[in-house]
Amino acid sequence: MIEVKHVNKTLSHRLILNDINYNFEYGRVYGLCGPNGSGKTMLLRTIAGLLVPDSGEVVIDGKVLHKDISFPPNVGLVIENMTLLPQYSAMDNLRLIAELKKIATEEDMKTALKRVGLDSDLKVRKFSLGMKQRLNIAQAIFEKQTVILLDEPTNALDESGVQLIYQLIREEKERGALVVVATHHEADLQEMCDTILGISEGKLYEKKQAAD
Amino acid sequence: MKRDKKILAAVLALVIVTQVYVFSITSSIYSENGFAIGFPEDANNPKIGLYLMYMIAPVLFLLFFTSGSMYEITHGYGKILIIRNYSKTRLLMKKVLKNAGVLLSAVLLQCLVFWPFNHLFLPVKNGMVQSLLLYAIILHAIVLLQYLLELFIPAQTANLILFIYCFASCYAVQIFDVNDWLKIALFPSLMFGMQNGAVNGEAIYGVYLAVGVCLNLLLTALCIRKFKTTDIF
Repeated sequence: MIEVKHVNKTLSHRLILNDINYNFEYGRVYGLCGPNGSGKTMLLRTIAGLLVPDSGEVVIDGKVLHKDISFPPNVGLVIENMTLLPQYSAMDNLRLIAELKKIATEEDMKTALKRVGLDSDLKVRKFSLGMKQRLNIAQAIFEKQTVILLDEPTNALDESGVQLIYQLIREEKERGALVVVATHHEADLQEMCDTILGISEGKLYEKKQAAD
Repeated sequence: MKRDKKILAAVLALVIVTQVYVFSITSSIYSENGFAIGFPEDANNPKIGLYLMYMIAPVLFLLFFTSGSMYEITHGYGKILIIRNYSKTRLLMKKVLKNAGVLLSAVLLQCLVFWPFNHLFLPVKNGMVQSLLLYAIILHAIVLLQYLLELFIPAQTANLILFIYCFASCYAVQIFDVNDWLKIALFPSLMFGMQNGAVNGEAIYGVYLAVGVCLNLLLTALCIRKFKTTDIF
């Protein structure tokens, strides 16, 4: 379980996260919606360990982030500007990333690329925006991550791509992963999320809780 | 990004070549490998500020070359590595070592470019190797200070502050009779053999060398500490 406890974060004298409290459980999909600049991305980055809260803490499986652990042990993340190496192919990008943890096999990488509908030997620099987004999603799932944080995952995707990603999110939930999807299109979240959370001016609130 | 770096490297090489040319036509007070030697402490020339500017111009371009290093690892590919628990210390140290290699290459390039023309300048009998050594060490400390500043303020602002600091330090130490402590506070001036005691064989050189090494260690430690608590975007 991920426990977000009284998290506050200020950036450039603006309170971005205002006393956020919430418990996220494995095997569920959480939708996070709110207008641009409401704090969705900052909350995802804080859970991912990229931002250090001014006060409060994020506890992952009983371990306090930035105290007991530097980063969540197995997190997949899609956020803006996920720079991948443009001079390599999609497969080579995954191979390079896989070298860090050495837990994913060649088969895992091929499967992840297939699941996001990316079958190309082109160098990433020749990819369209949609293809880059698919590769971003592939790198967030290919190591069978237990926590998957997706910020606007359907950006730049065509309709078939969007449906593919929704299906992928459902599959990840079945596998037992905790998935948080942030978007400003609430309608996208209705079907696939167990819980929809709203965020406005840094405050988090529950909008919809699906029956278990 | 790589193409930008190639252009900056070419500009840096051009600046070094231009520096030799400017040294040879401007004044007779430059020494051989003058970029690391500086001017005698009693040099009394109304244009000394301008000559100092020519002297440290390559430093400005070197700072352009290493500029944005912290941005690269806090906003770019570093993110993918960091969320996979890649050590932040290791990521930073790889960047530091890579740029240290660039810096060493730049100093070697300066030596190579100056070498055929050194007979045009005032000869330096002693302390050339020591001067070059402390020049490289102080340059690296300046670059480390640039990294540290970039973790707090935008890269362009850091560059501007650093260049003003470098020039003001060298100018103040050249013009005024400053004591050893103030010289350490104005440490960029220690990159010149005439100021750090290498050329005149002064015992204080050993102290300044130790200060240079300690500064490098201290700034590296501060960078690591700050980077560990810096937000990654």
